[in-house]
Amino acid sequence: MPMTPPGTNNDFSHRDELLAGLVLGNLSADEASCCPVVEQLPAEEQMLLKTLKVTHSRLEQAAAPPLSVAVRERLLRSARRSNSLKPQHWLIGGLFFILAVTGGELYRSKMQLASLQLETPSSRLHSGDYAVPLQAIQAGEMQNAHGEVIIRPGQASNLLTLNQLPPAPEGRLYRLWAVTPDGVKGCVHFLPDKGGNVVMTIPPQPTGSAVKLLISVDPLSSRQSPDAQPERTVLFGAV
Amino acid sequence: MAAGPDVSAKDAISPEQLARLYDEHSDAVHRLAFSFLSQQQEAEDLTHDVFLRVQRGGFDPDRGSIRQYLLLLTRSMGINRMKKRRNRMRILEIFRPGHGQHDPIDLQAVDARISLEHALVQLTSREQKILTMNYQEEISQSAIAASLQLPLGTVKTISRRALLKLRNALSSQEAG
Repeated sequence: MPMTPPGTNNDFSHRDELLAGLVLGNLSADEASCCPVVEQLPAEEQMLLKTLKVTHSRLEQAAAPPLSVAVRERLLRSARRSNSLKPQHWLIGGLFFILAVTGGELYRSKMQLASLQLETPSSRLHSGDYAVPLQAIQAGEMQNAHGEVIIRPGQASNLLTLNQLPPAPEGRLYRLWAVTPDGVKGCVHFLPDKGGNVVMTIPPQPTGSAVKLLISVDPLSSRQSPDAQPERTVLFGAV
Repeated sequence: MAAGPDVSAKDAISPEQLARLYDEHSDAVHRLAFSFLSQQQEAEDLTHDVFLRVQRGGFDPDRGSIRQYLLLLTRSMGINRMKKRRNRMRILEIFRPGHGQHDPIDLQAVDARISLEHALVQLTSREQKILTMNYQEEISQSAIAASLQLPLGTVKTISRRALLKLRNALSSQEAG
């Protein structure tokens, strides 16, 4: 049975659908038994199979954690605020915007700088700030990963820095957890950059009241579950 | 796929129109943002900024679809964000050599991701929903069937046809 040429129409032959099922891994036992051996497929079908695998792989790579509902709320709040501004307020608003962006950039640079300074003598910490070192809990690919959480009581954020963290396995994310007197509480999700580094500000709680901190590798889907628990702990630190 | 909210050229849009635009396109914008920023918080911030920019106007429907506009805006604003991040790292480099080294931005990968998002628009909303549940949320096909109250066989058929349609759409883009 001839395969459907690409880009012509979307009426697919049964055989095309079988090949798609083979790539998706959702063939039933009956379908699998009548599915041809891949090596014996004609060249055209080999090509279809190859391009289906590429498409499948691109879909897998496009996976991202779900977008937080809070972003929509924040956006609509900002939109309503800017909608209510009269034209003559735009100039003032623009100036404030530039100041805010510049200030934000400066603040983030300072935070990153602070994370570096904290790797040197702790005398550079502000009064009351303290660092919780995070170390790998077992040998293996994670053994060189290390970092710390800077707890900054009374400040608007704490700081997470990590180095030599391997890329997360496909379909998974790293997550910071705080063990508090009230139980284990999930904090931020993140991925390291290509150099294995993470530098990010994090909300002051629950890390501010933690007695222990954990970094785990969790499935993407765990973000949606409010009852999620760390699946595979890779770094640990005690306050 | 729904036609989408009526967004007229170049004028600022209302918060209600913005909400409808966001509901329809935010997943695509966020996926693209996450693909090159790698950090969830930054990807969410960029998604927010892209839609806020669109609200101020500037979209010209004669020059392409709103989805296309949003993705290109995400690309350019994301690249700006990465350049700023790199500049910060350069400052940090003064204090600790080696810390600020970053790989160059892989524009080819970003453009490939944009092609995929364009191709996804050509699927029906049900096909998109099933692919999203399957790939993004890693939900098994039997769980998808239960959640959408469809027979398992129907979910399998829809996902197979969606994959074939997507492959056709990508082939057409690459040929064109």
